Amino acid sequence: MSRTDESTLIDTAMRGDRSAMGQLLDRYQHRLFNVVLRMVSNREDAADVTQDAMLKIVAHFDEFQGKARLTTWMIRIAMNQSISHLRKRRHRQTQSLDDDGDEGKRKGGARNTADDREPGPLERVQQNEMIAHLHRAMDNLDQDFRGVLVLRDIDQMNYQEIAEVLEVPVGTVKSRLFRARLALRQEMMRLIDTSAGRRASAGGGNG
Amino acid sequence: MAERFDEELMLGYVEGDLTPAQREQFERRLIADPRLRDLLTQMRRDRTALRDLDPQAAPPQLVEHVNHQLERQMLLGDASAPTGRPRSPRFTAGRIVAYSAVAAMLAVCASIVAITLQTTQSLWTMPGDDKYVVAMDMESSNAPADAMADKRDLDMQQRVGKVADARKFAAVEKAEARHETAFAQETVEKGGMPDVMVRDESRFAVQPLKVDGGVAVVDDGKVLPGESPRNLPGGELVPAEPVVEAVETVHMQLDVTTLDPPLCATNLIAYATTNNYEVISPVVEARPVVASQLSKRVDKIIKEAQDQDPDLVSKEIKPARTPRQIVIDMPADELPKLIDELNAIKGQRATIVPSNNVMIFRRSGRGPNTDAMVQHAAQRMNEAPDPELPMARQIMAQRGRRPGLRTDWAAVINEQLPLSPVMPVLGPQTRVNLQVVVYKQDILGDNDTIESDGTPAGKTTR
Repeated sequence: MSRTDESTLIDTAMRGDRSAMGQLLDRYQHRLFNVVLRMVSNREDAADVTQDAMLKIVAHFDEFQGKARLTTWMIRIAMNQSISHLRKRRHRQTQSLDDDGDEGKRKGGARNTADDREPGPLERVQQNEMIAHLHRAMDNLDQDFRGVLVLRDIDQMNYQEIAEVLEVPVGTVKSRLFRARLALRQEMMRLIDTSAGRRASAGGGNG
Repeated sequence: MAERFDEELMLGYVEGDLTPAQREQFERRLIADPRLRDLLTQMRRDRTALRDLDPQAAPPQLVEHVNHQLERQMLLGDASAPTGRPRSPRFTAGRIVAYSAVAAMLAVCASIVAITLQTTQSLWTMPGDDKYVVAMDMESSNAPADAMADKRDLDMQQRVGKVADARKFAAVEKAEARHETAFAQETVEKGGMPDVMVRDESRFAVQPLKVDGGVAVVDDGKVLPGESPRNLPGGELVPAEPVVEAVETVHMQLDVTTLDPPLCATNLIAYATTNNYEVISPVVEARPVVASQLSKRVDKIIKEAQDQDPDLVSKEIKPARTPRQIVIDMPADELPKLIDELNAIKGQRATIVPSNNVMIFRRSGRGPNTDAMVQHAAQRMNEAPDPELPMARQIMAQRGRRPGLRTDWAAVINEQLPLSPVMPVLGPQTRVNLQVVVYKQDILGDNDTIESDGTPAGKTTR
């Protein structure tokens, strides 16, 4: 959608046109959903949180002043809603981050359809394992770290856009991003070591 | 290690933000610190892996649900309804008119449904002490929708004057519910076992349903595992038995000569799917045989598996009645349109998962709309086959390179799987192992998971 189209839709929606508002939500729903999904790691929760975020977007749409891009503003709301959800979830302790039940849902995010560069069987196993570790490592990260990684890698925002979403200076974004990448790598290494140890002990037990 | 370097420089290296000169200089410094070099390399790989994660499609009715929620909020005068800075008179007036109209429609729908509910309830109750609920409309007597039908709402609808439209809309919804209920009832009478059907698109949907003891039993059309049967509002019962039943696991090992083992495996999966087998874990190894006998080999291997395992034979492998998963490959620009069309048909037991250039169509059971979706997809694919496919095959033949995994899935849907995409002879030697699970009854829900041994999660292998 061109900026002009978007601008027209925003103006129309601002005047209370539900159809225009619906079109804006419709156009950005997948982007919002993906950001939320990678934050909350659960498709069902992501649907709920995205829906709540959309309700907030509509409710506060007249507060959008056009200083940032609409998508940035929307994603800020979705991100805040995700963080709020994570806090509540942690508080309730109703769902363990190590819950195997989530694993299957996470697999939805992995490549599950053959593409044009189908890897060999060994590569495929390694790739799947890597993706599983990646999801789990992301889950285990501090929400600030997870947030900056989601915005940078999943939504592929530039530093300035991330700064606008998180409402922090660009320098803070860079610093946080580096520390997030470092934390992710450390968590990945921990998971890989744990996995290797488990395999070794299972092999020893069989033999 | 890391402390010796500037954090921003390291980030720039990982992010690929450095100029060629900066990068070269930095890499020279990294030579002296292999541990840091490895760490940064791994961080770059993590970054790539995160960026390579497939984007996921939002649930189909997400925006629609938001709109319904907004209508409900406006109708109930919810405190969280749109607020904010003072609006222009034009904005406010527009909203009042729009929301009032919607509110009136909802109120009339709710009141009509509440009244007609009692007259149709017998349709939903199965004769005798059947364990299965056949169909469950969300318009239960204690649904919040009923609360909307109070006097205030009735007054509002009268003011706006949308009674006729609302009545018509409610009648359509009700007719659909009756149709589905009758279909499910007929299935049970014929000895079938329908899944619980929930009108999750209904504007009156309340999910999950609350039953006595506050336990949620039904969620989005699926019976949640581990719940006891309980009386639901309206007198329905939910299944007392698990809806998932594992049957047999058959290991298929096929020797195929092909230039394109993954493509070959894909065709095998398609074959198995078309013949109502669920392929769990295709593994491709290197070893030879002949592709042209593929279909016969599949049947033969299943038979051999039965011969070798008397127990397997005695249990009689009975394929599912319907294929559960269909991969549809169409031109990328055609797919969104097809998905919209299929969503418009609204099969109660089908999900559509777009992924890369293909879409995966899953069905958990038969239903008039679900069948219509399959037929429509087949028709559309025949009308608009993937134009890249012949060219890709030609390139593959000329260069000995595989073009990818695009296959003529239209034929798969029509149960005429072409085996020709598997290139004959001349290729690397290949062995394809497929682990296939055969279901006795096509009653798996979309959310049911399968263990690596083919056993539905939480169930024991027989």
